[in-house]
Amino acid sequence: MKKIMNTLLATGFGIALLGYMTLSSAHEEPNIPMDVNSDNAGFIGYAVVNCSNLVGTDIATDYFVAQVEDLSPPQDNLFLSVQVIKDRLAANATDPVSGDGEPGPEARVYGGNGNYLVLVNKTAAGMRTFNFTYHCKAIANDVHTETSAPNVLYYQ
Amino acid sequence: MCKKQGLKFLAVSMVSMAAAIGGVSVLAHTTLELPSVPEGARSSNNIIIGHGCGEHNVIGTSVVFPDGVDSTITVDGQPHTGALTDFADWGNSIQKNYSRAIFNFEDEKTDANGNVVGFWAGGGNSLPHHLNGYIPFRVGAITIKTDSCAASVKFHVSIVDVCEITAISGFNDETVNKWTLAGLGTPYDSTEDGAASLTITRTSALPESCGGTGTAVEVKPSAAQLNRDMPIKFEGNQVWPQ
Repeated sequence: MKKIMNTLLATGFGIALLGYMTLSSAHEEPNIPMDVNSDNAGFIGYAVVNCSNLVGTDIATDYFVAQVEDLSPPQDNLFLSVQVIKDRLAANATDPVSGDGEPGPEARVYGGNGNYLVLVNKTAAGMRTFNFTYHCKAIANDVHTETSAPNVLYYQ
Repeated sequence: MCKKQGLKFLAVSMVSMAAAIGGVSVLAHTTLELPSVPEGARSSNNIIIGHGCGEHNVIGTSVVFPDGVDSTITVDGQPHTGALTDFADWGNSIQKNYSRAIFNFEDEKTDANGNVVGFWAGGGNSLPHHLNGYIPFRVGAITIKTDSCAASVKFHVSIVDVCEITAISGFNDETVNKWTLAGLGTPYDSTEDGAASLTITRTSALPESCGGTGTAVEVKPSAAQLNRDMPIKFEGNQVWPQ
């Protein structure tokens, strides 16, 4: 069984290296590959995250926040960004330094409950690996409200 | 070498556990424990396997939810040419809850973007054909569009219980139980509609323009999706059908 588990882990990592997104749902998507052929400056990911009341309560979402952390070594003029859009509100955040172990600033939109559109893109061709974190939150007590897993609609 | 051993382990486990055992079968469809859940609330659920293939034990199960991308959508029985998003937020809404209560291996099925569209479980043990088997999963909070007239959104869930690993040509009453729709033109079709279902029920008020009762929306998978997502793949290799 241990051998099978090691094989499964290796296979999962291998799938990630091939450029597919393997999504978790704990408000963090780690080690996501982007532009594995290093030839697409216009590579873009587009997902929808739904925010709703904290389960079992009437505590509604006040805002949605997203961050990206570029894990790859720095490359000239290549920066990774995330945009969040809901209704007439939008926010953008760019990780200013790749590979420094720090996520970029937050992109935060105060849109309440509902669907938030999330875009991830970059400024030049080059393979990136990044972490994506996201939360639906209520201001009071900094509570995490119900946050859906990202529904990825486009990733290429 | 490792991959081959893992694949062989699973295949042998699934085949060797398919022994016929004499006894009583409970003739119940494989269904969802909670076929109806309210909108806006995350829910834990189970696939309930009601019986084997005759007296053959179930050694695995494959479950596919409509992905909403190329699914057939009807409103009160009439075709809807728009998108599922006209009625509900659906996508990457299913998550398999880990369990080895029955089978030793399981995983989620995903589309090209990594969104979960179903799951499978199998191998290691078999489910005695006269007992119920619970396969746990979770459904995220699904919201019905407040500006729609949908009173409910029903997802037809395609399930095949496997009692013997065969090629498609080997599908029969002793090797598979198909809880699927009829007439889609896939090898997984039932002879008559027998798919399980998950219905999301509206809790918000209907717009006044809806006339008070609301509409029943239904979502059925496409043949293309079933052909793509119903097979069981382990370590990148298709284990079933052979």
